[in-house]
Amino acid sequence: MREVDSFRFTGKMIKKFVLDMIENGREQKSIPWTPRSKKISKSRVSLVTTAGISMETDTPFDMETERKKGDWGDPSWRLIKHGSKIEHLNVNHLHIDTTYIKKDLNVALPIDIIEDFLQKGIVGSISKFHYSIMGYQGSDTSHLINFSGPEIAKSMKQDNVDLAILAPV
Amino acid sequence: MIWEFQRIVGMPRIAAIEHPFGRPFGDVGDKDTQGKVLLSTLKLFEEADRAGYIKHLDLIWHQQPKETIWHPTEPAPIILKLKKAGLI
Repeated sequence: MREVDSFRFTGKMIKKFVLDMIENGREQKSIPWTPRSKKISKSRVSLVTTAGISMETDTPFDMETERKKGDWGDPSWRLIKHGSKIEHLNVNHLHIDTTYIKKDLNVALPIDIIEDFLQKGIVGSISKFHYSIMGYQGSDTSHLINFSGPEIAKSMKQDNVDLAILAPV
Repeated sequence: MIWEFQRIVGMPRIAAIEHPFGRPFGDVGDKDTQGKVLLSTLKLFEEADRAGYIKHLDLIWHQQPKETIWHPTEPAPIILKLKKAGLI
């Protein structure tokens, strides 16, 4: 099968920046692995996006501090109720054109599509909430790794989630 | 979106997709592609037999790169900072 070209749309500057980051990054020697315990059609599924999406009743992701610091991204996380419509969500991400998500949430967080899969019996159930983080974290990912990640995992466990799909944007 | 990056950070199962930033599942209103991406990704849970398994999704974006707009209208703060420092 043809190998995906990750940089087809990025331009040369971003390609060099990311490849330098990959080359200088520390490769994880031990990759976490949890075997699937149930058929997909019996599993409870949750979605995670890095698009900086939040409920309109919640605090939006912090773009002002990122504008001031540059090399910083909001490391917190948000719950997004399953069934939410884009009219009731905020999208705060300074590295992508967010107008597409604001027109159709499913381009980044396919809530309608997973609901359709539930109706067709492709998945067993859907979590009460989906999750959002801010994909850009600058040079410090420690809060995301040590706090936000474990908190999201705890919330998923409480909701008996079997499978989580993390979609970067 | 960049499977080489997902690999080094240790993602257990990776679905690589050749879509522009901001629209990993497909374009606005394209429920067919959105469904294909989500279903292919879900199937990874059955197909993957080892940690770090990568599946390259055979989906072609409907526009050429020159026609595809994904950049924010306001340059990202890190870009401004790097330009100011003369690094890019």
